[in-house]
Amino acid sequence: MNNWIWGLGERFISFIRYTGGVFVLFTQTIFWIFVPPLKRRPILDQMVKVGINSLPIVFLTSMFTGMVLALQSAYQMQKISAQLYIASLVALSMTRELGPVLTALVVAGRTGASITAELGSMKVTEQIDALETLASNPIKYLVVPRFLALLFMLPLLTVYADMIGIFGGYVVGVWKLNITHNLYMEMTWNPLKLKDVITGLIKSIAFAMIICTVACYEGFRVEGGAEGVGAATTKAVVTSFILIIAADCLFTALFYFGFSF
Amino acid sequence: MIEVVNLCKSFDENVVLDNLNLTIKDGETIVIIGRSGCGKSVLLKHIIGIMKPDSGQVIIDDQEVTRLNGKDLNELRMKFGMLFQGAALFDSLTVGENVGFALIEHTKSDEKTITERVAECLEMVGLRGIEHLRISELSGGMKKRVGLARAICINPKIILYDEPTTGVDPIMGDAINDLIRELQSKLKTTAVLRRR
Repeated sequence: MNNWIWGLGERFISFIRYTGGVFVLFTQTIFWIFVPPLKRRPILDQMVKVGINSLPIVFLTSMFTGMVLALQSAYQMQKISAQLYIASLVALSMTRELGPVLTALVVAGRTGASITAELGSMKVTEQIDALETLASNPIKYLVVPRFLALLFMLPLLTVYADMIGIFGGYVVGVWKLNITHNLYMEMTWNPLKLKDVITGLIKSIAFAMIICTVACYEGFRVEGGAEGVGAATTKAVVTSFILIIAADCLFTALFYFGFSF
Repeated sequence: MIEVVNLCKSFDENVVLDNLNLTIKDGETIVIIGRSGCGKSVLLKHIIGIMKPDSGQVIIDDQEVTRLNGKDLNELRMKFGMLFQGAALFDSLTVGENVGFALIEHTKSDEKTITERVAECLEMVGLRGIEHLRISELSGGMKKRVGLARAICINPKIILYDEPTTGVDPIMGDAINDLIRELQSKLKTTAVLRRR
């Protein structure tokens, strides 16, 4: 019994330490953003890595999600002759939930893992120490460009995912279910409000912060060579996934049951 | 001058540095020898301010490293050059960008001046004209020498060498030792070497 309580206490302390560490890294990142100089070149390089290079996988994920959503709902809606509403269902689901969340999960798996592996490898090969000895702050030099790149690119990727997902639904609706082009478009745009898109974008900004901070924190904490890099990468992806889904739940509750705008 | 006064550092219950005292005069070269895990690297990291001690002081030219933070600590670090055991070159940058890193990041020197200084440093370590190469294209010995070129690029007053000849063949080891002696006589630096 004593051991059990001891173990529980240790886990709680390590959880508090982890949360505190992530929060401290986040506040330091915000601080270093405003410390000049802010070089454009590393940010643009990261934007290409994070954003442009993620376009194909985001395209595939969103396209198939939009198509599957339309196909699955058609199966049910046909029974009550309400296939027409598939367009609205796809548009709202993509902009409010699936667009931001799926894009964030894909980016966390692709970019978050790569950030942790890169920083972790730099840590075990003493490159982070070398940065400090060369009078450069590792947060300013390594975290800030990645943070700003993700903060800018994830909302853009989300808008892209929304459009591709809606197009996926359109393909099924128009070519498989024989809904006319005009009717499908009308049923897509009519129920869609600006709020749906904006709340999705706000979520994606929060997700970008989560992905970058967790990935960099895990990268900086790596110990013990290649095995440590692998373990940290896995942990970064799993933690990001959990936090993204938890944050999504919180934001949905706030936006649709807490605020009204 | 580097002064280490009553320096203590422990990791959990493992005492690594226990009231260490050491004075290194300007222009002096000292070698720190000891078993693995006896705290040689930890001492070097305290001298350059990467690690904070549990107690004690490291004083460099009347500045207490252990109390410095942010900009002041970075200004002090510009007096240092450090050669890491595995060279610790940034593999996302080219050789030239590695060697000129501190100049590019912390000085307002124009591109021509930086290029010339990088070429000069690479020539000093016997690696002329490899600025454009990626780090992955270098051999172990070349990496060490590029690391040394990076360490001397800002004309440091103090150079720390962390196991400079480990992992290189005996001929290259001798060449690096000669290079260290040559640099010490040319640049009149204070050098701290760590060896197993």
